Amino acid sequence: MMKKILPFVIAFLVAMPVRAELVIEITRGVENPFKIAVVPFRVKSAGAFDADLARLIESNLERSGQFVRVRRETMLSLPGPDDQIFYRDWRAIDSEYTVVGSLERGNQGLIVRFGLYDVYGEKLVFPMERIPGEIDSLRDIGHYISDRIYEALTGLKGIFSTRLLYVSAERRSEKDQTFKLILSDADGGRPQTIFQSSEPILSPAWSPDGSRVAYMSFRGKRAGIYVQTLATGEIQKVSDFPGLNSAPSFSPDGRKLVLTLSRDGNPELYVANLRTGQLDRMTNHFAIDTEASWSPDGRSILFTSSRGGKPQLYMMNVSDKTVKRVTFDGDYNSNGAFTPDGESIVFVHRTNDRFHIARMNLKTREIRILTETDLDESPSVAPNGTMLIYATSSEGRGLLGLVSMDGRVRVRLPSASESVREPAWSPFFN
Amino acid sequence: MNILKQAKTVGIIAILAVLAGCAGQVNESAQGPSKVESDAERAAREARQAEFLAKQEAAKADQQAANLAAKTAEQLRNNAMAADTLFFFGFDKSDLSQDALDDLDAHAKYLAADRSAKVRLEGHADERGSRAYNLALGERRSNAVARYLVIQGVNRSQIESMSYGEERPLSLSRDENGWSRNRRVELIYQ
Amino acid sequence: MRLVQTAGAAVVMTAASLFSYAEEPFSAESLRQSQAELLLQIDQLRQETQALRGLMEELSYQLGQMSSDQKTRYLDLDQRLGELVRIQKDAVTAQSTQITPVPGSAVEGPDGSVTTQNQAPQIADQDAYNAAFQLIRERQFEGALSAMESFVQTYPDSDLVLDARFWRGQVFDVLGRDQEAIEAFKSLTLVAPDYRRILQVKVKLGKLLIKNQDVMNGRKILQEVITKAPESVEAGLASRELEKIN
Repeated sequence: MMKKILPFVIAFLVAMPVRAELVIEITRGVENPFKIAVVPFRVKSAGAFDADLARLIESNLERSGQFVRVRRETMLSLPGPDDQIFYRDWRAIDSEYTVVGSLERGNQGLIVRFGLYDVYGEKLVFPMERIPGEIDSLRDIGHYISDRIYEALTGLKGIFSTRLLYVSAERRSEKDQTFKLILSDADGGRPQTIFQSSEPILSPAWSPDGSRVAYMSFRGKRAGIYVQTLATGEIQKVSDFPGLNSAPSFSPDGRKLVLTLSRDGNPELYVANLRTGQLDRMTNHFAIDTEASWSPDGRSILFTSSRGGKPQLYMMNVSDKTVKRVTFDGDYNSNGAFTPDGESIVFVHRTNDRFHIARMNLKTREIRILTETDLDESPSVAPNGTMLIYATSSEGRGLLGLVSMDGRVRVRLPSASESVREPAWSPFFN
Repeated sequence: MNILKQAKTVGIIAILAVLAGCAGQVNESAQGPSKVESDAERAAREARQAEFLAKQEAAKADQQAANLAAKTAEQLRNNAMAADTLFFFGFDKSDLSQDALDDLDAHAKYLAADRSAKVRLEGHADERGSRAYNLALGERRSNAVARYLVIQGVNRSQIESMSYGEERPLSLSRDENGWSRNRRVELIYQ
Repeated sequence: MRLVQTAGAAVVMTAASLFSYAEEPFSAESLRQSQAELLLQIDQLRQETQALRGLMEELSYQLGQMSSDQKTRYLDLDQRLGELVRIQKDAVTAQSTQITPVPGSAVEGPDGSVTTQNQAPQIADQDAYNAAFQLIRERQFEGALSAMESFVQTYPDSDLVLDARFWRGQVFDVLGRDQEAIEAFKSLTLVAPDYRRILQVKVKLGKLLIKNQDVMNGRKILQEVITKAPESVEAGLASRELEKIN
């Protein structure tokens, strides 16, 4: 009997060692997030810092939907990394995990120390860590610490150090608008404009290594696809044929771009080789073919086509260009993207005359509607596959929202006064 | 019927050709050289006169035609300027309504008469559905208008066609009223 | 000569007048009109084709689904019938040869059919276990208890039986039914001393025993954890528990 069990046990341990540990906590349900107390970091040298690391960390963790913060005012003591921890103090306020830390100015920059305690297990989850950094990289350090905690407790890679790309629009009148392509932290912090135009900017997409972004913009009245290198700001023109140049998506090896051109009179998919500039036409149909998205294994391209009279998602085999319809529920399914494991797709789905984000498992074909707002669009999945970011609107303003892949956790991302749309979640940078 | 007509024509041509041939032969053999010369001179003079008159006539006609054309172009231009420059569409549709066709005819007539006139067609969509798809939809709409104009005699080079998708709505109200105003092609004279 | 010219001109005139349809100023207009009509017709045809294509895609998808459903149904029926026949056969053989049937042989089948049959229960037990476990996640502890219990009864040979018993003990503990929890954990230590979560079981059992005034046995079992696996997380927990009562 026991011998029979053994292979199962080993497989279990190898497959997901950290996660298995999580399941041990019997009270932990999907609706039972980790309760975590992040003690304000102790400042050990003169001068204030412009970011509250503890706030940043607790907000990050809370945004994942898997954590709930223990409020600072309820803490009985505010220990630093060198102080003794009295577990009963934390049990008393119902904290399951407690984070302590300190920061001080060193000769060159900054030193941050932090630790994560398991209150009920009465131990450090991992040894106390020491991170040297620059003063202006405090946010990076905060995101790193959040990732470290998230990974230790959930067994999944954290996404707090990833970035977002989105478009903001400021409208004074129909013909007088300012469009900006904005790069920000995953929490919306540190937004910076990387491209600006009085004409629309659309469909930003990340290269698989996160070093470049592709997008559609106009030069004068002419649309074009451009690839911008983030580090240098250098912009490469991929196409500006007469007609449409839109919806770029990188191949998983980063060497090609699939995009929509109507230079032959009708919107069709083309694959552009970024090095040689060579174009390969992928579709040939008098209906609309657009919004292509490459599968993680590089073998398929998911796209929207109206060849069946209404917009639906189709899957193309890249090697022989054969096409198969994927969505059969509803009369409007568009703008599809793969989850990182390639097993599901997310897309815009219309039901009861409202537009939501839905997820479909490609094997079982089961569809799950994830959002509840209306006019939801542009889903982009986080690189760890736990959440997606999408665009929605409220009172005429574009907003970005996060939703977990089971639809249980929904978070609205704060944004400045402008209207924002077209979010794209970066890959992991390391 | 057509074939009959053609057959008849061929027959007539053949008969006339034979007659003409005979006449030529008779002329050459019967008249003397001097007489032929004076006849020829007279004929030439008459021809010159006729030519002169014809030229005068033609110049007059040209002038009249030009006047007429100018008047017509003016008229066509006025018609075009009076016609609608906004053309609306159904959701996820790009077919032109009969109303649109009537207005487009006015634009087409003017553009065909004045080759120096140029238009830009901007296709738009409402905000529902995804942006890149709407961009394609907007283009489809502006192309539908462009194709119709070309068929009505406008040169392709007189038309610039583009799409803004859902990026430049006319109306900001989020109901069918607003959306139906945004699903449009704008025709703009350059 | 003149006659020739006149005659020639007449010919041209006649021919022209006969073909005049195409040369009148209004004819270009009507040609355009018919072109426009053609264009509209082509657009209509395209829309029609697209709608038909869409319908065809949907129908062929539904057809594919239906035929695969049907196949599944047929295979299921076939399997059930086969089982029925086998059971009957076995019964007949048993009667005729007067050999007492081995328990369970009717289900497992007398030959190699065991392997094909084994797969179905395996999937079934994983599903049942998952369902029971889901109740724990949803904190429906009473439901979870009975689900885990019926799992142990339904799939006594499953690889997951020990896990089911482990969670049963945990749920008793959560519900404060200490005696039942102690029983559950105790029986696990006796039945499955090599169970992969045995250290966890022992720490829990030790704690519960101490809490319920059986300090001696509780201390003993905690001590056992420390000596058996001194490097483990559980050993740390055990020694902390021991410190508390010292």
